This record gives sequence, C-alpha cells and structure tokens, in this order.
Amino acid sequence: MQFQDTLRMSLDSTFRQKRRIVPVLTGISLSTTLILIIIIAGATISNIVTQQILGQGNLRQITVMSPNNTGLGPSSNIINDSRIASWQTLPHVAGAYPNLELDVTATTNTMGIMLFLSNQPDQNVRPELLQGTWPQDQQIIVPDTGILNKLDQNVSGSTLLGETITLRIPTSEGSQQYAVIPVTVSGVYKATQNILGQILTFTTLSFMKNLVKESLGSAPLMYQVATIMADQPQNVSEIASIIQKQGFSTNDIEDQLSGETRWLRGIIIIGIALALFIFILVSLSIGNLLASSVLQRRKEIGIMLAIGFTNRSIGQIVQGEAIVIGIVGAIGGILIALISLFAFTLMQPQISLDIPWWGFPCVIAISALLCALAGILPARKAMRLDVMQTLREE
Amino acid sequence: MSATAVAMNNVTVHYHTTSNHEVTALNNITLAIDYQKWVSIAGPSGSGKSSLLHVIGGLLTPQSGEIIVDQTPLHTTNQQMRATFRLTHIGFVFQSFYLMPHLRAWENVALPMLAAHIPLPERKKRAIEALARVGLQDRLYHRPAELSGGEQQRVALARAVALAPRIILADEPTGNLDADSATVVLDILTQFVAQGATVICATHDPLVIARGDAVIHLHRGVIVPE
Repeated sequence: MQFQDTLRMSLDSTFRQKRRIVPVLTGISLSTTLILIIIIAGATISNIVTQQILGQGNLRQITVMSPNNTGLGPSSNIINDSRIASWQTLPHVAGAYPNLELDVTATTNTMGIMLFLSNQPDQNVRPELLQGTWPQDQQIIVPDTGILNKLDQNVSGSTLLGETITLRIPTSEGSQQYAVIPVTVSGVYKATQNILGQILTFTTLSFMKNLVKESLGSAPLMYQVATIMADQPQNVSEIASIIQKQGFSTNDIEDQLSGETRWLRGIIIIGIALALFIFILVSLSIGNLLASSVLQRRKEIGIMLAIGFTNRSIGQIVQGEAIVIGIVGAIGGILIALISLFAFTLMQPQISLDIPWWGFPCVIAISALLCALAGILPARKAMRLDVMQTLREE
Repeated sequence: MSATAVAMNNVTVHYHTTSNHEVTALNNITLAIDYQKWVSIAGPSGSGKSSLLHVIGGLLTPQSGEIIVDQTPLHTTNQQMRATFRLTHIGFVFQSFYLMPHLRAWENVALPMLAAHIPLPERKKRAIEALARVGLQDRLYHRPAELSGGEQQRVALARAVALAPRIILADEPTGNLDADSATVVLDILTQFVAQGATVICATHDPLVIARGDAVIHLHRGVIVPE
C-alpha cells in the first residue's frame, strides 16, 4: 500500500474510535503539556538566574583561593603580597588584590547588610564600583552581631549614618587573629535576596588590608582569598588556567553560573523524567487500546485479508494508528501549553518567557516514537490474525 | 495457456476448531475447472463447500496435494504471495456481503484497489464503473446500512470484479437474499461469465445450481456423484 493510503486508513480507523481514544489522547496531551511547561519554566528561571548573576557579578573578576585553610601551609601555594604582585604582571591582568573576608555568619535572617564606609576607594582595584549607583564609597559586610541586630530593627540604616562601628577582621579564614578596626558609616544599603533566596555576599576592599596591617603592625600577611581582574571578560579563562596551574583554585562568573543553575537543571531533569514516565504509562495504554481494537475489528481485518491485503499492510495500518494518536496527542499538548503560557504572560507581563521552540518538534517526534513502540505488539497481533478463523466466526 | 482455471490433485485439508478438534474439511479432492465456466459446488452444511472455495482462493493451505489456480501453484506459495494472488486473480463474494460498514459504496468497491497501490482518482473512477456494471451508479455514496441486502451483495460483486480478476469465488451469494434480489445477483454473475470470468459458487440453492455449467457435489469433504 502507498504511504498516503496507509496514513488515510490509519487516520480513518483511529477517528472511528473517538470515544475510546479520547482518554488516551488526553493523557498524551497533558503529559506533553507538562514536559513543555517544565522545559519552558526551567529555561525561563535559568535565564532569570543567569541575568541576575551577570547583573551582580563582574565578568572580569576571578576569585583565587588558597588550598591551605590555615593560611600557614607550604610557601608554594600561599597567597601573599609577593604572589599577588606576581599575578599583577601576568598578561591580560588589570589588577590583583587580597580579599579580607569578614565574619558574616552572624546574619540573623536572609538579608545581608552592606555599608558604605568613608575611606577613600582604591580606584585601581575596583574601578567598576565607582560607576553606577555608589560613586564614592566602598562596600563591606557588617561583621558585628550587635550592629546587625541594630540594623535589623531599622533596615533603612539611616540611624547608623555617621556612627562609628567596630569591625573584627580575621587575618585569614579560620585564623584566631583579628584586626579590630573602627570605621565611620557614611551610608547603609539593605542587600536584597537573589531569586534563590541566597544572601548577596560582598568582599572587603583592599583598603581594609592597610587597616589590618596597621592593627597587626609589621606581621607578614597571608591571605585565603584574592581577586584578580582581567582586562577583558574573554581573557578570564586564560588567566584562571594559569593560576590553577600554580596550585590555586579559582572561581569566576562562569563557575558561579554553573553552580547556581546546577540545582535548577537537576529539578528540570527530574520533572522531565517524571513527565516521561507518565508518558510511557500512557503509551502503554495505547498498546492496550489498539490490542483491544484489533480484537474488536477482527472481522474487518479478516475481510481485508480475504480481499487481498497483506498481513504486512494490515500491521502498517495498526502501527499508523499508534503514530497518529501520538502525533495528534502531542499537538494537542503543545496547544494546551501555548494557551497556558499565553494566559500566564497576561497575568505576569513582567516575566519574559524563554520558549525553546525546538522543543515542539522534539516532543512530537518523541510522542510519535513512543506510541509507535507501543503499537508494535498490537500490529503484530493484527498481522497474525487467522483470516479463516475470523471468517468462520461469522 | 491452459484452459484449466483450477486444477486440484489429491488435496487434503484439515483444520482445528477452537475447541481443538481436528476436522477433515477436504479429503483427497481431485478436480479441474475450465476458464469461463460457472461451476457450482453443492452439498449439505459441513460438506466442505466453503473450505474448497477457500483453498482455491488461497485462504486455506492444503496439508497435502497440489493445487494450481490461474497458473499459480498455491501449494508452494507463502502467505504474502497468496495475498497478492488473491488480490490480482480472485474476486471473493460472501454470503454475509462483508462490506465495511463505515465506508461508502464506492469506497468499499475501491478497497482492493487500495491494496493494489492504485492512485485515488483512478480508484474512484474504476469503482464507479464497477458499480455501474451492477446497476448501482445511483448508490455511490450510500453506506451499507442504507442499502438493501440485494444492493449490498451487488456492491460486494462490484468489489469482487473491481480489479478484473479471472476467477470469482462466491460463497452462498444468494443465501441472504430474497428471490428477486437473488435473480439480479445471478444475472450479474452470468454476465461476468459471459465477459470472460470463471465463477465458482458454493451453494445449495437450486436456482444457483441451475445457472451453472457444471456441479460438483461434496459430502464430508469428498466429491460424490450427484
């Protein structure tokens, strides 16, 4: 039989069984909708998170971490002033400075507090901070619990303006030595949560190092973390590679993106796996539907065999029915998904949906394939039908 | 070309019932039927008339013996070849018409042509011509339920001759028809024979037997004298 004739016969026999196929079609459509909505929601959230991270972060920044937690390890992989000075001479490096990490574990809720201090900024190190909304001041995380409590009561921070606060700064992570530094608050900013509910974290600035140095006198400083700024974002990976070869681990915007979106990908994969599982169950029911349909149409199939249809063409018609159900169900699912998403965008116009259009032909193909697989056994059953037995039953 | 449309030599057919009893439908049948003849196969129920038609039509395979139909040795062919043989050499007419209830008259007639890969416009044209041959040119778009028994059998006749087979096998073609309808159907079959077809008809209707050129009497799967 010609392809279009097989298709016509399959379409005809499929839609003759309207009542029986409606539940199966509904199942396929809904599971297709579920898969598409998961994909679209995942892509949209991933896009939002990416934009947010890119918005917060610095595309040129590389955070360098020493593998030595105490800061007192072998001299080959410690971060100190001479090491930082050597990084400043690397190709494509615009600047390098140590991070003096503050004790931020005292935060009482998911909000971070960022203060603007009245010291002069180090313009060579963080020039980008001088652009945008905070033109003059530097930012740090408030480390002192008492001050945080005070800030929590008045998050606008206006009462803190002009006050002198005390910073306790460990010389390196895990170190018991602290620098105690009084600074004057020249501004307060309540840090917002990001979309994942995480606190935005900030690093101290290089001027703090001088304060610590003043506090510690002439003791040599080793740092747990340092920041290197590339001259261009595209040079970040090259610089990070050099630093990694020196025995340090690095973290840049790409790593952050990867970390932030990993859990999201996990949820999307679990969601799609669940939806596929439902899909497979529905496909199995197609197998059942077609098998019982073959039984019901024994006489019809017997007549067709008697007048010259081959067993193979009968099998192709039944197989075609399965594929038709798969395709029609998937198209129904796509329509439901599009209508739902359209309704969603009407309700939430501020959210721009990231629709992966490639997903639509994919789900149609997957649906057709799964249903074709489910149709194999009923098709074989139809092919094996004994024409004489069906005619004798009459 | 040989003048023998059907040649059977010591053909024996057994089959198993659903309760797994073995039935000998045909026992050492030897016969020859010439082209352009109307041969009736007569006998009581269970005598093997339908089985003989089904063996000639390639629906049943004999366990032993040789059968050559329209130059095709059916005893050596596989299932696929027999299906193609039925399509191109045989036209079947059944007592219960066996029309597809959801298809219109012309679509029922065009069904074998669909299996023969004939394009749709040609199928429709030939189906309309075949329906005109049986006098149903005004019933093209009727479904079987909208036709009388006689008209349904005429649609089945049109379907049987749609691909111009040389042999028409009719199993009790008038069994479900009143006398007037039966006469119309028999007239059409006579007309087919006149146009070159060979008609082999399983029946116990004396009207049908009277139309034929020869009668083969069967009793318990064996050919017996009249």
